[in-house]
Amino acid sequence: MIYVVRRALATLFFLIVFGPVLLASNADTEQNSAPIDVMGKVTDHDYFELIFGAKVYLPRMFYSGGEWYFFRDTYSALDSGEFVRGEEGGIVRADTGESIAFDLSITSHLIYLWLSLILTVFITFMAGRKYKKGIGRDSEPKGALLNIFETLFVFIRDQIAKEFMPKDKYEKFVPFLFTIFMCIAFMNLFGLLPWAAAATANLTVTATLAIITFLVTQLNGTKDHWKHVFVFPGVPKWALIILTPVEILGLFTKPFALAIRLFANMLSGKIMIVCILGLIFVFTELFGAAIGVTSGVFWVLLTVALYFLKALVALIQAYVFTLLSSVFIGMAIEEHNHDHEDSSVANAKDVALQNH
Amino acid sequence: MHYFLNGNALLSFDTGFGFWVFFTTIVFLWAMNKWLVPPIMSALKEREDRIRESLETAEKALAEAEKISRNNEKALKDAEITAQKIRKEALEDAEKVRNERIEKATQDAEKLLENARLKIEQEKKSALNELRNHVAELAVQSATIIIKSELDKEKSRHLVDSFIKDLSKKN
Amino acid sequence: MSFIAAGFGAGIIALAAAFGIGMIGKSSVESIARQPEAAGDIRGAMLLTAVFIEGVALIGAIVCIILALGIGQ
Repeated sequence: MIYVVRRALATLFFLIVFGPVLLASNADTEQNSAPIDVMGKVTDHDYFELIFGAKVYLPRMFYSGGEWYFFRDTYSALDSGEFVRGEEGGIVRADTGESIAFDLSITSHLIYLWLSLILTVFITFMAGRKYKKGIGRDSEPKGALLNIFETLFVFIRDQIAKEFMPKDKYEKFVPFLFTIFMCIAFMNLFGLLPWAAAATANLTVTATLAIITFLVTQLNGTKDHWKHVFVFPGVPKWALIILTPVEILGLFTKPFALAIRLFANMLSGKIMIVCILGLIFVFTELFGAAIGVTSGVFWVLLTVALYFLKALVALIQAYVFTLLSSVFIGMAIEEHNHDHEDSSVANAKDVALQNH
Repeated sequence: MHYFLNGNALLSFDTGFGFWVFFTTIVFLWAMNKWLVPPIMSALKEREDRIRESLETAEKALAEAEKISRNNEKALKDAEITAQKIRKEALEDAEKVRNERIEKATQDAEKLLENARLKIEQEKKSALNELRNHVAELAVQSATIIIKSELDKEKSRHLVDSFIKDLSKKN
Repeated sequence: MSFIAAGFGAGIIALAAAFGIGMIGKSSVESIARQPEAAGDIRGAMLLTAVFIEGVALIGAIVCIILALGIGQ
């Protein structure tokens, strides 16, 4: 329910607010008069923004025209004279005017991804050290942090892995699911910081995570899984002409939906907050400063409410991504007996079918 | 719109950035899979196993105690049954002894009675014999007296005969 | 023109997704009321199904954003 309300609101405000902003930016691109750079808040940058608006420019390294280039930041690349700023905002070669072929530059989203991964590993390492010492192994876990860690870990293990995977195989995938969950949750929660950005609001990140899930799923697929893909058992031969392409397509739509879901949820949250705050400026422009500032109270209150929702959604989306990864892997590694009775995956699928 | 066309587009896949994400995520996943998570998994499993084990042991001990108490109850019941049996046997024995005694006493009494009867009979017989002898003697004496008183011989004989006949008839 | 199309599209998506998630919520609340002991399982299945619907709706929303921002023109 909350999603629908949120999505409807997001679309509404997106179209109300973003249209004028876009039109304004179209009208005079040189002056760049848009009051707030809405998309700039969610897109990737070549600098890392610190808490007081300070920008740390990140190194650029890229492959262009058969050669590797390393620069301290974008400006040094521009200063070298080999590259100039292109029309679309990126940098292009000065001599030929072609854009960069393979850009391995460190970007702000990459920093947040690394931060999340390092935090995940750090937390796991600290917890693991305590477990090795015997706390939690021989006794109950001590301390709030270890308890939180164990709650999360056991939740991933029991509610996500054990629930949707065969009982004898699920242990292998717990590290994967736990890492993915913690990493996405941290990335989403970083997006709550006003100066930071959610790395999951970048399609490249979510798509790559989905690709990893896809690879894990297919590399661990059983013979049964492939049989279900190419020669679906129990249907007449002529039906395979339709079923096999559908099944093969289904292999790829699953991670695609996974990537798009996470990306769109995170993107819409940030855009919505920026847009609602941007309404202050829009109202000021339309009706004057008095009304703009007065209505600001309402917009700020709305933003506060949205922030709580976003915090919730950040965790829910991490959970959903992990849950669906677990479901897909569970479906692939399951040994089917053609009685889809006792597997919760099949049950969930049945429920899904009935509800559709 | 330039957000969708430059390198950091909203809806495009950036190969270089994707490579970074893929590479680092794989490395971290591998590290987690290899070193960081297994000790936690094993520790949790160990603890859970121990808890399960101790629960099982406690359950077993409870079952044992129940069994023992059931055994005790059974033994108590057995002892009671035995005691009752013994009591019953004793009662029966006592009854038997009493009956025997009574019987014996009755028998003794009967024997005594019989003896007494036999003795009485004997006494009676001997008394009768004595009486008879005495009567005979008396008769002989009386006959002697009669004879002596000189009575008709014939008459006296007849008298004696009839007397004796009477006597024998009486007997 | 594409703004109008995107607006209508987003509206229809919101309607359809609301209907779908409403159906899920209705039936799951009904089943939980009927069988409170199975609440955990039902909640899991409910979330999973809602997520499927949400995925479809979000793909529609992305199409609307593409339309609104005029990609491919």
